[in-house]
Amino acid sequence: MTNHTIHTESGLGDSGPKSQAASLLSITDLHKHYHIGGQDLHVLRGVDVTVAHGEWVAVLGSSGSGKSTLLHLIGGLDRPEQGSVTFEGRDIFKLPGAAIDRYRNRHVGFVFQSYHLLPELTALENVLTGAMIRSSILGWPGRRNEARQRAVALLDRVGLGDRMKHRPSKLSGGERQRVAIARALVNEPDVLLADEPTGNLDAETGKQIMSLITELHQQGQTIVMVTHDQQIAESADRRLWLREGSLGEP
Amino acid sequence: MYKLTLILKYLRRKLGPMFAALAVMLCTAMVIIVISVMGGFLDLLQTSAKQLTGDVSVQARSMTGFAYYEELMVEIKALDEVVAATPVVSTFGMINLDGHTIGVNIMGIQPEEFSGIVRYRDTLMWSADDILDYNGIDPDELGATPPAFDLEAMSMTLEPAGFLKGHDAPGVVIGVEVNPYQYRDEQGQYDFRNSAVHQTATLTVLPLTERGAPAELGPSYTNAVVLNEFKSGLYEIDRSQVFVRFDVLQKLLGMERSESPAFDEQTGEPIPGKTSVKPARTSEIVVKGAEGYTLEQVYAAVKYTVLTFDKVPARHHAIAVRTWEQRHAQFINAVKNEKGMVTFLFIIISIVAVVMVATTFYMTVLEKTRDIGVLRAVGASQGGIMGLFLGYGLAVGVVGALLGLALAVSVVWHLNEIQYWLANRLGVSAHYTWCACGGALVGAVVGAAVGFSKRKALKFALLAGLALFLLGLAGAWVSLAQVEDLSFKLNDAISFKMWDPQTYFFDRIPDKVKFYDAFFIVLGAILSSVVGALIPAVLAARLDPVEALRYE
Repeated sequence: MTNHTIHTESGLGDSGPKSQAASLLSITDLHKHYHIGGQDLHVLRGVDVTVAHGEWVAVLGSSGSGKSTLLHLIGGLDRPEQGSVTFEGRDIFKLPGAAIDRYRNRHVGFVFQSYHLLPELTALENVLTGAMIRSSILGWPGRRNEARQRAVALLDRVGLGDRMKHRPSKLSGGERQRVAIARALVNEPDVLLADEPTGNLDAETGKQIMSLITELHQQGQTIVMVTHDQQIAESADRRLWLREGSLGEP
Repeated sequence: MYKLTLILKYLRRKLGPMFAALAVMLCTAMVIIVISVMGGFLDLLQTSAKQLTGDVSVQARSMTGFAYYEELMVEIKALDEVVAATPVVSTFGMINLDGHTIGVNIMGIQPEEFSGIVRYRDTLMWSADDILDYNGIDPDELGATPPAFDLEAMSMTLEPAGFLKGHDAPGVVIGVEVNPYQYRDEQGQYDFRNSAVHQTATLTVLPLTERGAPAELGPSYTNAVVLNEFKSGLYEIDRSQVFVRFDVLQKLLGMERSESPAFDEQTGEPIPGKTSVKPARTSEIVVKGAEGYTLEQVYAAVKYTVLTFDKVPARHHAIAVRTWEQRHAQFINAVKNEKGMVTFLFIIISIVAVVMVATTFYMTVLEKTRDIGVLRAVGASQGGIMGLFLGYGLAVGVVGALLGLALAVSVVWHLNEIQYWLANRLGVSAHYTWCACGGALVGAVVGAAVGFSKRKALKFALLAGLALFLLGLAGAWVSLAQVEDLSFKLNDAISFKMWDPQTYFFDRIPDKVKFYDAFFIVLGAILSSVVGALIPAVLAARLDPVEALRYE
């Protein structure tokens, strides 16, 4: 297992210029328990991993191995019983609640297996959600144009320039996932956390999504992706196996 | 910003919040209508009570009245706090009009002075124009109005003029509902053709001795000419009050000043050259306060004058001094309490709206659980999620409350028309049944068009439309067949009168919206809606985002 040290000490406020340091995320001795049906389930038993800037790490594992849990912990959606997730030199679990929300909004972009688009919003509005959350109601008029241009550009980039006004119900699975990727990228996050991004798609559409993710990676996007599909994980720089709560080389 | 965007989307796209807004709307409208009508009723009552009784009244506690009122009036009028005062004598009696004998309250007044204190002149119903119009006389051709036709002038003197003088009878102005032939037409108007103007009536009263026993000569009566009818707007007054000249009634009741030979108490023999004088009496003095003085100040000044007036044993409670508020306190307070109670009950009912909002929002939170997880994943804070649902509650409250205000305003402003329609038109008539038929047909076609893409909806719309169409057709057949008896029976069965002036004193339902109260009701409704959304909002905010994302 390779462990990288953290060199940057920047805060988690505005994203600002990207750090030039080699490592972005450092996960140390991460433990997570679940209490289900009166039983204690020790899902993660001391996970250690470091993710460098621009790196694409694929975490492989069978169903129920804790892949999604790991991703949720990295994204600050969940809290571990033990261990730390250090982003740019700061343990995100030692941050106050509002700072974790800010971390999720500005530094992390989630892509889910089930797309999780908001059904009432159009594709463009879904993409804009992160930007809207980032802005206050008073600050929005000043940022709206810029955010909108970025969202439109992202939708163009994922090949949905002509479907911006469509609601999720009018889009195919692949199109929905592309909207979800655009949404994850709207605040130019430092790391993209993708949870089985092709899990709900047919093989052909899955390939299209993977080529999009590969393209993003080639443009310098840091990606942590969890999947059970070894073939998909082939494109990643590094593949790690999550077995019995610990990460290891394949 | 995402909160506003989502709130606006949810408002337009979800049926639940629409029902919640509907509940808020109905409750808001209900409370505003009740407050406006009850408040308007109270205002009318207070205004009428004040206008019909003067600011302060100095009243005899006994029906036999009190003496030396002229001297007392001089003292009262001399007060800075008083601008005018006039005596009024009143009694229960009977009036006979065209063979109908009606029990009434007869008031003897000095019309000019009385009109300066109490609303009288502007309650008079008929003028020379009405009588000329009735007789088909063009006023321009006539030149000067004949004195007997100048109803207003005669009413202000209560003396018949012109050819009416020949009757040798005093004049009388009667409440419009005292006249048994008078009634309101479909527009709620009275017609001069039904009036008793120029008719001869008989007034009968029962004079009492100073001790309260019936006078030896028994009831006294006089013929009188009806000079006009008045409408105060207070049904109770309009159906039971008549006005005659003060001195006429005073004389009829034996309350005028009289002189008789003095008798020796020992022998019972008349004392030559000596007379016994009985001073004139009145039932009441009505007082108008001067501007710049409060009602309490006027009351205090008049009360002090009465208490220190040495000719009347005021200390023995022969005379009562009361403000118009005190005089009608029992009734006004009863209505005030009723208003308070009804408002309280409706506010309790309005809690339903809060529960409705809470239920709807709880369902929405359940329905939106995964979206809440997504929003948290994209960076929304717990406070943001709470704000989203509270803002949603606020939006539902604002929409519901403003629609409720609009509904209440349109209902209150047209309350009399609505009540009139319910009371008179809600029944079988060709016009309405054809309208119903047409409406049902249009409904069926629209329903079919809307439900075209959904087979079940299409079938339902067609069946419902057909049923309504047949119902309308049956109704139309009943009307067109002119089965009058059946129509009347149906009318009786399904029409109802919300506002009966015999019960509610006033001839019209108050139809002014109390905007000051409405403002607070709207505010309360919005607040209630936010309160209703509070618990679901807290639940939404506390959702574990990971659990929320897994929610199916």
